[in-house]
Amino acid sequence: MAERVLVKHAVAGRMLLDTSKEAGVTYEVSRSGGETVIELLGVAPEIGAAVMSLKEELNLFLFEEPEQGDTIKHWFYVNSGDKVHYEENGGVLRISAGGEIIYNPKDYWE
Amino acid sequence: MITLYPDLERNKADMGWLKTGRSFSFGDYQDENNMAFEPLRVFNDDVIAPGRGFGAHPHSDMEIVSIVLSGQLRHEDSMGNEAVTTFGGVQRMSAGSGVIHTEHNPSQEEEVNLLQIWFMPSERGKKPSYTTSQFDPEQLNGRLLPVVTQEGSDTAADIGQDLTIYMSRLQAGEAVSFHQEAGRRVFLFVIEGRLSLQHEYELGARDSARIVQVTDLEVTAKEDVLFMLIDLP
Repeated sequence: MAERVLVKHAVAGRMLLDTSKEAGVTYEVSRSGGETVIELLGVAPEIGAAVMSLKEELNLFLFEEPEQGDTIKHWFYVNSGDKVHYEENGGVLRISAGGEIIYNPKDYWE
Repeated sequence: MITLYPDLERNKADMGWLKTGRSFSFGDYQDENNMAFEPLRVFNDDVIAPGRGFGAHPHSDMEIVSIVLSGQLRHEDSMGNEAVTTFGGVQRMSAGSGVIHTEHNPSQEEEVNLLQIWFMPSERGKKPSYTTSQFDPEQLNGRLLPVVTQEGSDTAADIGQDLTIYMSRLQAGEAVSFHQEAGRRVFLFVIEGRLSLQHEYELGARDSARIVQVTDLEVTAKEDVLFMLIDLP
């Protein structure tokens, strides 16, 4: 099963980062208590800057894409821009989220 | 100060299934000088083709109002709410800490025209909620009718921001006045017809105005007019 992390601008819907399209970007997802931390490594400075400029209005997703069957979407609630950090040295983008909704778009009208 | 934004200067997009006029930056239209009018973040005038709409997607920390002008709009969300509204119906969704929803046109024959209005909330992270309210279109005649207020009422949806959305229908020559509290602002949008502001500025269909530091506002119908006035912090 393929997986990818996406960071989008919540209002514009503009894609800021899609790990399936950024060669060399890796990520780790860790969950503890009610918090999920997604740490991405190898994020280019221009992408890091774009994410930071919109840090109050982010949509953070993890897509699970099985070879057969529907994509399952995990959407994470980023409580505040204070939960978004970027370190240019190493291209580390760390986003902490305080909530998660898992959904299959086919469970809704589409 | 009154600043006019003619319809012709709105950002327009035609995606086939969706035709939209955007008063503020949204989607692929980004203008850093036109991001919001204080808490008013999005004001989209959408026409959705029959049977089409917005698939499942998330929102958070946004107060979202949908006002149907013609046709039908169906809402469905992850809280288990489903609703169909027509003219006179108002949908208010407080996205808070997160909600997944869809909006679509359930008709197979008729387009739906709606105003999709987003406000930044007064408080982030609240429990998400959704409600519909209903006003009698006859009550719009000759007055400013509140259809969304912070506290809500039998005929107005409540909202998590210190604002009021009024709608009004005036016959040619009729006038209404609005007292603007110090430090607040007004967004005015003409839905159909023509009006004048302060007997000085004229606005036609789909024109809007952003108004600050005007204590008493007078709106006069130059022809039969339907408009919206939003009182904002």
